[in-house]
Amino acid sequence: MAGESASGPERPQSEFIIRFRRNRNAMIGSIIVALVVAAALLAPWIVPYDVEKVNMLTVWEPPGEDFWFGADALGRDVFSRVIVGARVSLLVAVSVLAITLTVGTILGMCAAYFGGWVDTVIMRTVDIIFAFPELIFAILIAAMLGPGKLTVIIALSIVWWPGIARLTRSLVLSLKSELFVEAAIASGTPVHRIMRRHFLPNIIAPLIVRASIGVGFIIMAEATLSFLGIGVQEPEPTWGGMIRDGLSQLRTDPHLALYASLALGITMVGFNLLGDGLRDILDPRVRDR
Amino acid sequence: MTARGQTNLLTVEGVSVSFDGLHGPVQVLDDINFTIGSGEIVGIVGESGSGKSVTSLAVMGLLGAQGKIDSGRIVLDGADLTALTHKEMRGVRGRDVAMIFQEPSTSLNPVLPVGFQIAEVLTEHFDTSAAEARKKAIALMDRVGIPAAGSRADDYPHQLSGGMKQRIMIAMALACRSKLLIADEPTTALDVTIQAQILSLISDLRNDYGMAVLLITHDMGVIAEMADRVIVMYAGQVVEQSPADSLFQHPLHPYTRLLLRSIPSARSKQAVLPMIEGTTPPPTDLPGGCRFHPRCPIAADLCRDGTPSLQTVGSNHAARCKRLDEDYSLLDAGLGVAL
Amino acid sequence: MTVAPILKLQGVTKDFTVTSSAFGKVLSSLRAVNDVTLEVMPGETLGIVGESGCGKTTLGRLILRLTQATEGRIEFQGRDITRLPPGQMRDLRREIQIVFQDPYSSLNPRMKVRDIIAEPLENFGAGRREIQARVDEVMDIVKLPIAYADRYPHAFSGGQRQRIGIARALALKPKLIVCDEAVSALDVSVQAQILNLLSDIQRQTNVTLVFISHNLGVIRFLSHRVAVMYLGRIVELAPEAALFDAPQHPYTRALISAIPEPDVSRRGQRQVLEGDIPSPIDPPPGCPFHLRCPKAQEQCRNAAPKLQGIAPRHSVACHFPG
Repeated sequence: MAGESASGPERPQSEFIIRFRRNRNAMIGSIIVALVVAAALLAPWIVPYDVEKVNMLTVWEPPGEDFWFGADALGRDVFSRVIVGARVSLLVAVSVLAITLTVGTILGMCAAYFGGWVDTVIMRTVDIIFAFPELIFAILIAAMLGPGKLTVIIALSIVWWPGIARLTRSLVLSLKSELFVEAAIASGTPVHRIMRRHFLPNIIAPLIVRASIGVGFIIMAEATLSFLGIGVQEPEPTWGGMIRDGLSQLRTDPHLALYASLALGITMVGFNLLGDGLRDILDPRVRDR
Repeated sequence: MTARGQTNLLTVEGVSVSFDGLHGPVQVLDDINFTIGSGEIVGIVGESGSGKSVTSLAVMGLLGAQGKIDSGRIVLDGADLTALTHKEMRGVRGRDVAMIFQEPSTSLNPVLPVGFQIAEVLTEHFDTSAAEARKKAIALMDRVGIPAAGSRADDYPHQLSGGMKQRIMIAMALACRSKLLIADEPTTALDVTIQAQILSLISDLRNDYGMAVLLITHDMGVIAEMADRVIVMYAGQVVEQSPADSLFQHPLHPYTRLLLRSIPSARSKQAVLPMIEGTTPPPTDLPGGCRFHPRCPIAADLCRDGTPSLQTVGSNHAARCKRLDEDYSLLDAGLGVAL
Repeated sequence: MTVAPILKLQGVTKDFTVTSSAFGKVLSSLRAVNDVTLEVMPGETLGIVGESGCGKTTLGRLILRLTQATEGRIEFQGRDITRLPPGQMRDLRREIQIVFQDPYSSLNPRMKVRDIIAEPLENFGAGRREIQARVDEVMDIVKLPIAYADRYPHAFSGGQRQRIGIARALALKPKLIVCDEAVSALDVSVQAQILNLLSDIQRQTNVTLVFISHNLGVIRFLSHRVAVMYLGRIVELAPEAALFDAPQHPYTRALISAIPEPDVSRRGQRQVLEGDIPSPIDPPPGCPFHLRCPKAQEQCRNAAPKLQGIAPRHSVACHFPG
């Protein structure tokens, strides 16, 4: 018996929960995000109307008892389309995150761990993509690939992975000097295991923060592409497309653009609040250790 | 040598401090009492978690937003520091009280030449012209043993070694003609030969200028070399307090005794080191009764029950232990050490 | 009877260069370890002591092959390991382990104690049952309750973390363990626990230790022989008793004298060396110590003294030893 008690601070999970509860941004953000996600998941059961069914009798119907948010140029229920639009936005965001997090962390870890020419090739590629303004580059790629959901995902993934790679690289570079990594090397641990076991779990927190802030950007970018008509195509409802369609009618029937913009705005605010909150909770520079 | 300990320069009276924790306030200092006479070197010694650094921060009014003095007074030269506003306290710091830390680099501005930083102290606190201040700064650098002070004055902190930076910090304390220097682990980050230089410099300054020193360290060797009086802290309390001679010759508290014995010596080879089982408890998880009893080899039932008070033995040696009146030979047998 | 040394260093030198990233031009270089020759016998503890910049940590990393020697030869169990290809390095990793100074940075905060200790075993293909048994065994050796195996490092104090680090180093039953300032970050009372533990482990397992520290008291307690380093060179190498009781190099003597001991009767008797430790980027010519040496002569400024035997097993690099 060593005679020392293993008392120490609370478990990290419980500490995280306490900090989370005390952080107003994180709490409000997570409630909004939870509502958006719930709406997207439950869309098929909660929408009152078929989102693609054209009904010429209800064209530009103002908001009322039958159509809470009114109807659009083809008489389709705006409320239903806003709800289903959340589904499209989140699907794009999740796909882009999955792709960029995978590609970005792997390339970033390789660049940091191996250094030398591996680092040079990866980071120069990152620099080249960074040289273009993100959105314009995405529009360029989407225009080349032709419209569609897949196009949006590919275009946004191409502009978004370099940020993840660069963040991962800097995180791993500072981890590399930690003694536990050196201890792992000294006891013969193979590279793939060092990455999986020693790097990944220790960089996951800042990556989550980055990802949750990034969702706002991705949803906005998807809406922009759809707004410009090179994103997700009709008849599938998207917030960007609805804003575009509502724009011409803004003076007389503002409800279409208004509710789609509100949905987009609230979702972005939700993800940004959550991201800011998570950063405050997880970032050791903000947090007192 | 100046007459030491004649008047009390600093009086710390019944000071308790707590910090905001995740689950409410946590008391980290419990009823600390001590005095420092002018020109006196008082050492506070303790391991991590003993509260020695918090004590120095409390004196400097540097507890931060999370820390709070719950009770007690800190009187410097007749003025109660706990009653001062932040602004008034800023005037005390750097003028009446100077502080040097383990890492001098964190206290020096990396983008300003060191000579300028010393001169700035002079122009700020005294009515000194810039040219005069620079001349004085160089003289002070020379005084603290920086070779070629005239040219080194234009060096930036990163161009100086750790020992030299600590000398710069001491020069700044001298510039203010501070009456009290608080030195928190001033030599811990330094190599042993450089540590010897800095310690002898601090000693000289006390002798030449009558500057009182509150020396905070974990190193009993440094205390033995420097301090007139010693305060031993454990888990937020003073457990023993005495003149240095008396402490090292007849340590009373079992913690002090064991701590002294557990230091590996370069003067003789030991087969086994006497050791204290366990570690210092965190302030959130203090044991009842005597705070040292779970680690004390001679703890008895009475140690678990009531909190011991600081008892004075002889004229000026005090220890917080309920078994002080026991036969010492028995105590030493219990500790497994011969003293 | 002659026993072959387990570790042999022959003229080992390590240069570090700072190059500009754009053109690979060498901006400055420093010799961290300079022509070090020494032998370590099986089952002994060699203490390496010195101040910052003396090269002791680099020497430890060279032995572990965490960095590559610029010149010289390192032999482990009679085999030249100076330039082993990565394929053969793994065998070596099994035999030589390390215990680091910082008990906080040396354990992955996201791994359970059990997995931390098991990692070296996994790397060499041990089976699940074998791993479990060995983890229990080494936790017992370092006196950590088995019940702690499923906790994360943050739940432990510095001393307990260092026990975990030692358990990890012991897991593969290595022949040699390099301890780099293994007790320096610990409080005195805990330091004594870890020192006693290391001393017990060595007595029981006969593992060879290379113990690197700046603390002479700690070095004396653990070491059988001691090498004193200054600016990349070994300046004195001797059995512990001879080195501490009859130091021959003026630097060793000053170093021992400078330690503050908890003894008020010795107050003010310390020898205080003048000057700073020179930077290894710009070392003085001749004897590296001559700028601070109270006995320095003309000869010391011109020629660096070689490490020479002055008594059996006692060598010193000084023109005027004693």
